[in-house]
Amino acid sequence: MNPEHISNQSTFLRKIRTALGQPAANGRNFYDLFSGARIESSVLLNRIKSRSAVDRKLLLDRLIHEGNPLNLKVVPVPTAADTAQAIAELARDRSPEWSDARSLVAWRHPLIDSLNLSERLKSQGIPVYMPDPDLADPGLFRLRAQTALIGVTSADYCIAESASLVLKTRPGQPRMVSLLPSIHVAVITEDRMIESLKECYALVKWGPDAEKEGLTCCMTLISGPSKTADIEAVMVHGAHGPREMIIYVISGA
Amino acid sequence: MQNLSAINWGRDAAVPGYGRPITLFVQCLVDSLYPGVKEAVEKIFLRLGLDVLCPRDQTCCGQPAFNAGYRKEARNAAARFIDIFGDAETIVCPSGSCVNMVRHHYPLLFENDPKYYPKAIDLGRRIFELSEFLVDVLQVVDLGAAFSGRVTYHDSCHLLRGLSVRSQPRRLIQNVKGAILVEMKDSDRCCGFGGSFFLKYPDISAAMAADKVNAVIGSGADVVVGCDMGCLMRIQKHLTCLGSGIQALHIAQLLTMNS
Amino acid sequence: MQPYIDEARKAISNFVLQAALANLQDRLGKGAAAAYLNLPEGPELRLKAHDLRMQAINNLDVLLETLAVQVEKNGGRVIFAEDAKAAVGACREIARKHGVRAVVKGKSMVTEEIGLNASLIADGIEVTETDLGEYIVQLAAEHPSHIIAPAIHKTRNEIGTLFAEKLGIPYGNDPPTLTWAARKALREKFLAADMGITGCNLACAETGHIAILSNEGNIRMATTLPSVHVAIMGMERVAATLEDHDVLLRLLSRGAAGQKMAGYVSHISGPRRPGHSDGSENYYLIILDNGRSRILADERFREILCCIRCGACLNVCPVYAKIGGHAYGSTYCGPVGAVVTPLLTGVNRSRDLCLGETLCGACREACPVHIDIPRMLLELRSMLADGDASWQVRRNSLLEKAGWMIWSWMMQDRRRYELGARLMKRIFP
Repeated sequence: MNPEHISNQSTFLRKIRTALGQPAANGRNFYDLFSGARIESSVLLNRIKSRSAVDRKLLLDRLIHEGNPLNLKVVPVPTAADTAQAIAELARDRSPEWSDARSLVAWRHPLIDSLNLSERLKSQGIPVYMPDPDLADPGLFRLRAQTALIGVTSADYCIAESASLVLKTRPGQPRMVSLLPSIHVAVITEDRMIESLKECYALVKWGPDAEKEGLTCCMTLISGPSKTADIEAVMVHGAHGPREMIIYVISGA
Repeated sequence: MQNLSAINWGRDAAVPGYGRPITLFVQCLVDSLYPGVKEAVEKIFLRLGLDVLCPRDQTCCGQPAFNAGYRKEARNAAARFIDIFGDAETIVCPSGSCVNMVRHHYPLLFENDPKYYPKAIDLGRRIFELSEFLVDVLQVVDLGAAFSGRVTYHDSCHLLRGLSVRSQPRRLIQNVKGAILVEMKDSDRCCGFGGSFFLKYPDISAAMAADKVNAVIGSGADVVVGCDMGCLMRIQKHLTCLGSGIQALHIAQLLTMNS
Repeated sequence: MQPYIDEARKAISNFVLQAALANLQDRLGKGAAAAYLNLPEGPELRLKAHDLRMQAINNLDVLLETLAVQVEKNGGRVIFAEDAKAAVGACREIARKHGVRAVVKGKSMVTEEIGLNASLIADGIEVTETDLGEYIVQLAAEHPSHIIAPAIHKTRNEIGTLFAEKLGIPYGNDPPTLTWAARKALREKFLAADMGITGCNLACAETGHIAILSNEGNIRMATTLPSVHVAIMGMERVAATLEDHDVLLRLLSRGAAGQKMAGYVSHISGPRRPGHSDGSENYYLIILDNGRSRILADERFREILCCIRCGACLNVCPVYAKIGGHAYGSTYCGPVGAVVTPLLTGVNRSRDLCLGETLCGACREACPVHIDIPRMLLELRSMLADGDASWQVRRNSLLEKAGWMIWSWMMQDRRRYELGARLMKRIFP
């Protein structure tokens, strides 16, 4: 930090302290003032951990119900193979928007790898691109995402209460895959279902990956395809993100 | 709930105010322009067998000055109000906005006055708007009134949002023999009166009143009832301007109808 | 000197605008009320949210200090800007440093407040608003008239004509066609932009993330594709913990558009990490004062800093429904604008904003954090009535003061009061 920067900050904060009638921090510190959530969080985490398959099925039903008015399609599928089949059909049925040819981009992710999409779609002549682990040509993947018909991601969690997917950002799992293509397909397993935003934050903050990862530099909540009603209050899907969105939930046979 | 003829309004009633004289705060608007409303209120308490006192010296609660920002002037009027009504057991007023003024703004006006502040707080507990007093305190909903026709109800802002009075006037209306309560669209939307607002910003006020009046007419009602004469005054004016025969009535007037 | 009244008159006689505002309030105002009811905690959650916000405001120094430490730890840079000039200057400097030629912007009231666009454009930088409503308003060289729906005052025909002229497409007027024309045009801008500028709905002090919400996806675009991301936030837009975010984001989404959650929420803490293929490479968070510390210092008005700019108050205000956003003559319109604008830009010059409401209380009822706007309007009126040294407010009208003094004198005596009543009868026959 340069010296001017430091003095800016201290002048700025001093002004606030004066406004608050607090000449200095006065023994007020963040930890004492604001951290009290530990107990409630461990209750939440226990609840999530001890959730039964039946409960998760109920969450799935809720997800489907909440997704409906948002035009978010939720498709329960028994296996990865069924998912791959469905995606192949989708790719065949939809017309490309940003190029003449159909193509897919996908995350590098164990669940998506298990779909074997490249193989599946080879017969249809539809390429499936994934980010290059070495990032040798950074612009290339972006060009591919830009022209792709479908972007395939997984998700860290899926919140039933608001039909929201939670996507952290990691190498090989770029944001543009769920953003640039015309259609966003998310593939998750049923055990990713959680109930609420509260649970999501509890997991992210207090869960097993909290220390290592936290939210990551960008954590995105996605609740349906892109939309706007800015013109005469008429709802239109497909403003600046995918105009269509599907979540495949694998029940795991 | 309880029918007028079945109840004993005697001295042995448990709720404060029962059997004891009601002190009437008339409201300056009613006092000066709508004496009929005052008469109707007195008639109601007569029917209920309750004595009514009406301090002759009363003037204004101070609300107009307060809303306009003139707190010193409002305080003067409010102090006088407290002097006149301070010893009354129960005060009833046919205006929600005045009661809201006393309950919610008097403590603010007198927050730096050790003499009047406790009085203001205390007074706030003993003052009621008419419909809230009838339904919540006296627990009466049927006053033996009769009116054949469709009645719509306008929720005045301070009564609704300041005093949380919404169901009480409706219950009273529904118990008027022959009356059919019809809800208008957006009954809780401000009519545009706003104290001096309608004088200072007449175009905006008139546009708001037009919406309200359209809603009244759209409800199919024969009369529109409310608990604040300020609102009803404006609504009546606009109804009349439009050539509509719909009458704007204070709830006290409806509750003393017998045809 | 009565722009409020003149603009109001114009708006009232604009039948298209009146219908659009009525429709908006019917949909969003009622939608929010229904959405509060579907909260698992019930609508009382708003009271808890109020306390959360007040606690944050009352310890704003601690929160901002914590936030800055976290952002810097995450590889971002924090700039504390005491006023509009400082914030604009910082932004221009960042643009210059990174050789920025083209900027894409998410909807941000704060950037309007500081007049950022004009300065960047003067530097020869192309600035494109990407929220569809803001984009339309920008193409038309107008000002937004609503926090959430900036182009509510424009018809599809007007937009069709505008797009035909500015985008060189054949005239069309159905919303899907127009939306997709903008989709295509703006996609080019996103892909080519060097810098994305966004606001910040709510920053999280403990993690250093800012949460930015949208339904269109333009915020995601602006924060994923360009190599520089500048986020500008009013200093009060910070919450302590993620648990607070849970409460506030759910309420914000409901208050704004009756949604359980906005379509897209991006929690961004800094530039991209090693191994990432997208996200900005340089991230700056500009924290703006610009008069907010003065509001903070006055306990009468501190509460307005709880506002999370959702627009719920606009969606229920009966006055706003008649006069539209332009009558407020400033960045912030509606009930919140009626309080914030006088305090940020001058009480006397904004006196119509202080006086031109009925204090019906619908705004307080609709506010997701239960801010008592009518209370603060009454305080502003009191300042105008008698002047106020701390805010350099002159008495609004000596004549009016005299009038009320006479009124007060008349109210002290029954006979004088009766005289006054007879006068009233003359005025209101």
